[in-house]
Amino acid sequence: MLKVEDLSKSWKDFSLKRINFEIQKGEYFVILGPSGAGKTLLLEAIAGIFIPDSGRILLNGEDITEKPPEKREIAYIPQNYGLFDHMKVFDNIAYGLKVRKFAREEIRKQVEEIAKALDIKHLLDRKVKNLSAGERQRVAIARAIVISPQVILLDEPFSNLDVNLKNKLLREMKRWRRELNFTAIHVTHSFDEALSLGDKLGIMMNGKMDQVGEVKEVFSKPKTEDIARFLGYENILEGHAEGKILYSENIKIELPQEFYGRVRVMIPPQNILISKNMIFSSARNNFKAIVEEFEDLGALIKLKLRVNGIKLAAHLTKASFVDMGIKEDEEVYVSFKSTAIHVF
Amino acid sequence: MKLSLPAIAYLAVFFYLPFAIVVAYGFGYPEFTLKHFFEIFNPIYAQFFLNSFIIAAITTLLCLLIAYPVAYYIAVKSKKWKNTLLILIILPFWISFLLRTYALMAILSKFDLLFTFTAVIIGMVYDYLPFMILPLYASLEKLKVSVIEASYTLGAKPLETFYKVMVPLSKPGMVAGCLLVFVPALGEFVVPTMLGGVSITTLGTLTWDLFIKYHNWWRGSALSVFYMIIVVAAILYYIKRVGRLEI
Amino acid sequence: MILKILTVAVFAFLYVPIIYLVFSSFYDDGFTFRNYEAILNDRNVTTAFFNSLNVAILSTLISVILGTLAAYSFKKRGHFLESLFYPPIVIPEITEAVALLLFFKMLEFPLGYYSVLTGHIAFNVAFVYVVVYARASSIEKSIEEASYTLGANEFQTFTKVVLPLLMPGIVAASLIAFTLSWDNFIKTAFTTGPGFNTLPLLIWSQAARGVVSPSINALASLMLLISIVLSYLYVRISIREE
Repeated sequence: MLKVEDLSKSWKDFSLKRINFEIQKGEYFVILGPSGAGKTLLLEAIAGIFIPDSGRILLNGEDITEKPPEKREIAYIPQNYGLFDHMKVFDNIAYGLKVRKFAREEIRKQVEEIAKALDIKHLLDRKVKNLSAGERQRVAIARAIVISPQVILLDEPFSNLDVNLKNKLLREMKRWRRELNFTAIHVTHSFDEALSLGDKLGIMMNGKMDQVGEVKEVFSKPKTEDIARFLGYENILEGHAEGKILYSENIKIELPQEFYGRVRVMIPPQNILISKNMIFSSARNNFKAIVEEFEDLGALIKLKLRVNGIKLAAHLTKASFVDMGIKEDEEVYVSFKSTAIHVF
Repeated sequence: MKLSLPAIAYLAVFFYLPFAIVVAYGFGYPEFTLKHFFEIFNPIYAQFFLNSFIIAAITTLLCLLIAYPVAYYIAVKSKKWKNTLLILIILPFWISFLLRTYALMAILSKFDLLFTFTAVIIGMVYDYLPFMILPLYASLEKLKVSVIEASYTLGAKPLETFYKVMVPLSKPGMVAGCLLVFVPALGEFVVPTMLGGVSITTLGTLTWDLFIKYHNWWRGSALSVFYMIIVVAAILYYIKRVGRLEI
Repeated sequence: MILKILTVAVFAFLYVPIIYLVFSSFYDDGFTFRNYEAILNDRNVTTAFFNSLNVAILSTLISVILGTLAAYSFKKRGHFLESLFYPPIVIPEITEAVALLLFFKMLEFPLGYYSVLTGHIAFNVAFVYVVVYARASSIEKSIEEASYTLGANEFQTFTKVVLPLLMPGIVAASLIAFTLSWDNFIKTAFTTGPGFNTLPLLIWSQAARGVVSPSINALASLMLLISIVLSYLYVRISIREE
């Protein structure tokens, strides 16, 4: 329903380079990227605040690239929410309906309905200035949803909130989505928002959107090394491939398919098995490793290992870590399936 | 952009165009001659310039000497009274020179000081003192007590602390204050006329006389152009020195 | 301690003449309102009062409209023309006054009410611009953008969102503009013509001759009171805004 085609724009230090993606009605599209990637610029172009240098934006087949923002039916919630501090909560939410010249009773009915859904009905008579950060966010969302836009654009909606509040609002956002069924594009730099809200995920870096796909797919199969690094993957190795064998430093790794020449591969840390004893299996890559150090990640332990000249990181559960009684400078055996290896 | 056009058009017609006319008259409009500039540099006028310069210089110096300790006291020492004192410094900005000078005139006449050089100086200091205190206060306010105390604890004597720490740090305020006093004082008209009477002629009173009494637009314009050059030079000097122009 | 005494002395120096003026306006062989009665019954004073008020109100109104529109439009995009608004503030009054005088003379524009008003607007526009601009630049652009994406057009955005947010700046600017015009003397003196008197001109006509009269004391005290009320309003507004 919303389609972005080859969208390019430069503005100040930011730029968008030939962005392409499409979302369907009711979809929640999360765009993940580091700060400075151009995420806000992309939203502003979709909202109509900027006219792109080239490319098109289509909404239900209609070209809206140069349509003024007030005629687009796309609601935009900027990072600081852009609330009207001089108005009451009610008037903020009613704003879009008032400028559309809705009848007074209709406005009241709709505002109260949405306020009830978002649990802010008790705030309607308050001045926006005196609200907490979480309340401000709800008002901003209510104000955007009440005009029933085709798409809602959310720019880092959780970035100003503390962790507890953020987790609570993330859960509520899921609920609101189910109940109100809106289409959204949500940009963020935080993975947990992408994982818990997104139907679809786009990764944006340096003005480019290099990968768009299902959330799980993007996380498990990053398309480029840069995306893998951004997603926090370690174990990126470089070597020389001869058919199904990769020579890196002085170890041999079995690859899922045949490659020739220089290749870069990534081995997801969660796919590396650790054991105290040698595992005999022809289909696996098996190595002896030294535990250099370990790091507590909460439920998981991250082991930093050395295999000959190569450094690898592996994740294992705290329980098995305790079971195996792993200590620093000890030897362990690592193994991973060739199919777990991701080749860029 | 479009919305600014009425205001810009207004200023162009009623501010910038009049200035262009002054410059034109200074150069002898409708002829073109430099003679009016030569005229204002003849020895009789030199005496008037000197008067203005002396009055402005003494005023600036006195204002600086009086304002510095007061600004320092408000900025650093007073806590409870700070806001009240600040309001009392800002209040005179809201009262016209004419009224304030008139108030002073009433007192000076009691002391039989009216129409003397002393009266003019007292009046000038009286009117311009707030213009010196405020920028000094602004720069001294940033200079925290801790800096001064640090200087003491490092073994500096009070005088040393003053010269080596306070003066350099408050320099932007001093420059701003001195320019804010000196430049308008040079062209001041109300004070010398009301308190100095006919005996003291300055750049300001001369401008008045040339335009209002003698209707000598050309010579008056040349004088105004000369004064404007001083003003612009002072502003450029300030921008260069402090780096920006803040109003 | 010395600092404290000096500070007190300076404040005394600044305020004793003003207090003395107010006291003497009530004094004529003992406490009296006679001086005030005299000026209220003086046709010259009442005419000048309404002239002053007229010029101050109109020049404030016009300059607030022009200056606010300009401040809003430049806030949206930085522009070199913006610097045109600063010279009227830094240029000494007397040079601006003679320029206006020559301008009107050259056009053979009759000196009086209109010439005075025109001159007052010229410097007030600049002051309004600077004050409102400061306020306008503090409005985050996301607020206007939010208004557009919610469906409001430029005019609705300006009247419903921008203008209310600019209001404190506009009120402050109006107070400053009104005060500057209300007690302006030099520009008025240069650009007025026969028959058009304002209160400052009236005071000047006496004071320039060195005359200190009880009725002028009363008039000056009244003007003082108005200045103080205006500055009080200004302080109240700026404190409430913080």
